[in-house]
Amino acid sequence: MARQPILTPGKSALLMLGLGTIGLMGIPGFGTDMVPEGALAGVVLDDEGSPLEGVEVGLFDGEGLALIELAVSDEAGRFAFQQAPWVHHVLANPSVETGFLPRWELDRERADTNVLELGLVTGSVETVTVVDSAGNPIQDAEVRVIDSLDEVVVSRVLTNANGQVDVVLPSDFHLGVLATGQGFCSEWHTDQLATSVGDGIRVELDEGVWHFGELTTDQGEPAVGVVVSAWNHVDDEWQWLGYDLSREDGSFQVLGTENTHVRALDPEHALLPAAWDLTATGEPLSLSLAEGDALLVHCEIENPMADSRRVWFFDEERELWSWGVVTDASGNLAVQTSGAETTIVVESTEADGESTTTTLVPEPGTPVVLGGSDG
Amino acid sequence: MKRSHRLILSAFTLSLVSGLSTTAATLQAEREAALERARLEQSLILTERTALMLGELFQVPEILEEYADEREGQ
Repeated sequence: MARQPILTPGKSALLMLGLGTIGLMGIPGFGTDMVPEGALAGVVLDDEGSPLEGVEVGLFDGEGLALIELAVSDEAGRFAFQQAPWVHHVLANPSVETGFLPRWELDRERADTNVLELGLVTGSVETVTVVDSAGNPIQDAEVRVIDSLDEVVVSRVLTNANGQVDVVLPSDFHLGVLATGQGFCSEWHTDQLATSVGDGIRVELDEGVWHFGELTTDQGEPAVGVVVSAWNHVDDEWQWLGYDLSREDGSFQVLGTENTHVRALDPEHALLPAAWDLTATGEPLSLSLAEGDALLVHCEIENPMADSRRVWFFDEERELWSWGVVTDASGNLAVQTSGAETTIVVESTEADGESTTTTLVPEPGTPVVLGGSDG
Repeated sequence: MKRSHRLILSAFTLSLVSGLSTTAATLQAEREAALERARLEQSLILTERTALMLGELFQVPEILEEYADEREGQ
């Protein structure tokens, strides 16, 4: 009788399957990936590397921005999520009382690492008071703090009955105060406000006037997804009042002053930018955006997969800057231009913020090749 | 041409050139300031996605609904 081999093909297959499964799950103590596939674990630390307990950590879907799961760090600063989408965002959101600033990890891919370290830094706690032009407190005004270096919102809270709310401020920030639902113009304060830190911040909101109507293309179709941005020009100073995105039917509404400067910018660059000085009449407005000539631009970037350039177009005829467009993975971008002389500013995405300026008259159908900020 | 006329003419030319270059510099400065405003405006608008996510966390109901409707409409 022939002797049975220890490893038959069937047993070998089972063994391989078993080992493969163990390999996929990860063996505790081996390697750095100690969490099951799809799960996400991490630790919240303070600025000295000590664990922080009781910090709320949110996991958001990369596309829909919906909150998927909420966790709270334990005494060792650890937190875990059951299942992270392939692309996701994570926010460590400490309470205001701790004096720590929230920390974002945006556009993470599950492949990056499944063990996430969130180091928090402290900011300065300030009380923001929001009042109307008569000095009366405004309740439920939204106070938004933006970290101007990282370009993320780190606080979005509502004022109480006294018109007050506490926020934690980073070293460089913008402050937005919004109460459009109550008919007040929004106030956006940029970095210069940092000088008032320490004494509390008082913001006075003016009553606003709605500018509303419909945006169409010059072919009469609704212009959808266009940024309609409102500005006020007083005493040689420009103040931003906020924006709206035009809807499916091209409708928009922005809260401004009696006379408001409105810019329309298409982030998709299918339509040319436009601007109007509007006077509120109470009647709906009908504004038209022109289509231009297609222009392909290629930026010569050493490693376009890892790096990109933001490119701005100044239309000499309309005297308007475009929405800044970011090059794709090949260093390309496509825009519409009026065909007139165009100034192009190419910005490096790196911290040095270097930019190069090129002035040219684009020829329709002829791609433009730019050296980018490297060149 | 008399010397005095030549002097007046050159002074006029100088002031004209100087005026033109001032105008060009002013235009350039205005254009740069406009670009700064465009950058700031875009930067503030681009923070909207983090504002939306924070809104979910903090439950800022009506503002969130307004933005959600807009997003659905896109």
